[in-house]
Amino acid sequence: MKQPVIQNFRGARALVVHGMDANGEALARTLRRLGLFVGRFDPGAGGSIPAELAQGCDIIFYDADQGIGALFGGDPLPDVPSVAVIGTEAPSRLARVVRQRSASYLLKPIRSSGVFTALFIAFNEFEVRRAEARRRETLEARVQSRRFVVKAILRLMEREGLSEEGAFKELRKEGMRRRITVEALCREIIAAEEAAVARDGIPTA
Amino acid sequence: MARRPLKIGIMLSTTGPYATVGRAMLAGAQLAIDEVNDGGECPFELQPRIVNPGGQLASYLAIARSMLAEEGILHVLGCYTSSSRKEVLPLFEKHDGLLWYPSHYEGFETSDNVIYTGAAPNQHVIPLARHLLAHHGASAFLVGSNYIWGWENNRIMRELLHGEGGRVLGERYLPVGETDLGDIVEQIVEARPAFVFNTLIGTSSYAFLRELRAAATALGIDQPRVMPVASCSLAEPELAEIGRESADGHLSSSVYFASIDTPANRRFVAAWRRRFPELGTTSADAETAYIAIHFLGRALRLAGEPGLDAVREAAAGLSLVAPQGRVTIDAENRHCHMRPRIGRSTAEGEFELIYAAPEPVRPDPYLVWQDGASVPGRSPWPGLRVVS
Repeated sequence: MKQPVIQNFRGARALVVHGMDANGEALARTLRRLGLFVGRFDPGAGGSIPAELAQGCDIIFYDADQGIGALFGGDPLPDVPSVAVIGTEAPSRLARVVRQRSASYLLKPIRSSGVFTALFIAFNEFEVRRAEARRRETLEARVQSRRFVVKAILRLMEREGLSEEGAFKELRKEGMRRRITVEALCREIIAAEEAAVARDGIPTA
Repeated sequence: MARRPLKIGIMLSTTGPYATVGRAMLAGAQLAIDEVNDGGECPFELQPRIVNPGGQLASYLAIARSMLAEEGILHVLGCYTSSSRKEVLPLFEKHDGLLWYPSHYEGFETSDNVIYTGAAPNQHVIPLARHLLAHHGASAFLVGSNYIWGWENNRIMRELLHGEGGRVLGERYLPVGETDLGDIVEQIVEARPAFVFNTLIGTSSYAFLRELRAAATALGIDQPRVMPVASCSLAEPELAEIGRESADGHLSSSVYFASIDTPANRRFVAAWRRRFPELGTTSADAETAYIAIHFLGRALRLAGEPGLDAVREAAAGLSLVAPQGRVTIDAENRHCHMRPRIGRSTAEGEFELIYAAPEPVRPDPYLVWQDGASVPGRSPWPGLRVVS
């Protein structure tokens, strides 16, 4: 499935977690030129990132030499794309970038070229991942519902004397009529039946 | 005050596929160098070191290296194609040099080592696309030289067309310098688009315009009227190269045309004719190089020294009355505020003005401030100390 590509980042809020040095300045300046609002936090200054900065951002740039995990005061990291600003190409620092699942990176020294690319890839890669995660959730929910679907089909086959295919068709028709998925319908049917069993005992055929 | 000599590099291709443009740029630069040196206000006497890369990427690299690393030159006026500019940029960064880039281009760059004196995409392709959609229709055939200038301009044109419910009937690219265009011309007269958007450069473009005109005429099609060719680079000296029979009726989006009627342009054109009678008329490329050197002269005067940081800082916000009108270097992105214009070519090798923006337009090299898809816009972070 082809997603539209985001090309313009005007009005997005970028949180730059980096020292107030030449690299941090160059990054903030270039982001502003690209139409973003920039919030800065110096990880060397101590303390954790204020909640209004952490919660309000659309993308995070962080110094991979320093890391950011500890800077959110125990809160989970915001669910936004992140870009690693890499100073030292050493495995211990890079492992952080991998664990953080940063969608993009910049190498120091920061130049004006490269920032647009990092921004472009980070936002779009994050969107793709988000779409993939949604799809995965749907599939997982479907797998978990399989037990109910199988049960519901068996019940219908027993009661109505339908074939397996015929029973599934009936369920699908009913699901469409009520505008819910077959999985959700089957869960309902089986849950209602289990509740009835708990109340009245095993139904007799 | 004794003036100190200052060697400046001039790196323009006066031979090769886009030599016509390079020669116009070189002449514009020479005219301005003389004016700066005669003006007596610049504390430096500009001494041009002129080298011709001949349109070869490898030569650009070798020449830039020699100028910056061996000859100690800090300021270079040069490049026309973006591929040549991108080739030499790392050298300017490494050696703290400043490239005065005298050409319109497709944008998506703001190097700290470049002053861009040509039009940015919001000053050429966007006004042109709007004009074409409003006056000629929403079906286009896109043809271009196979490098970033064509790719990006065609992308912008395609998106604007799609946004208006228009259609791209075809999109074709050819190597720079290719002049065998029969197939493409045949496809175009068959597809009959409302307009052709042409990002071919140099000799390819001239051959294309001649062949398209010939093919259309043979079929009884009044090509300039029913299927005009529009471009963001076609300039006056190129009309002479195309030849009289095929030179008229083409649309060009540019911040400068020789026909602009202002005192500053009349002076520029008169000085040009005296100095370069063999080159015909002035053009956007000549003017862009001309204003780049004048900006360099003023920035040197303000800075008092030729170092990168001082000159770049002095150049930010500089403003002058150029032949095209007022031009100001944007302090933030170092491109220029200029007035977009659209001209229609005549058989006599000039452009008649058919549109001019009412005032200079701020350069927007990344097209950040144009309409179109963007992440959901938000407000700035309010009232936070750490927010800059």
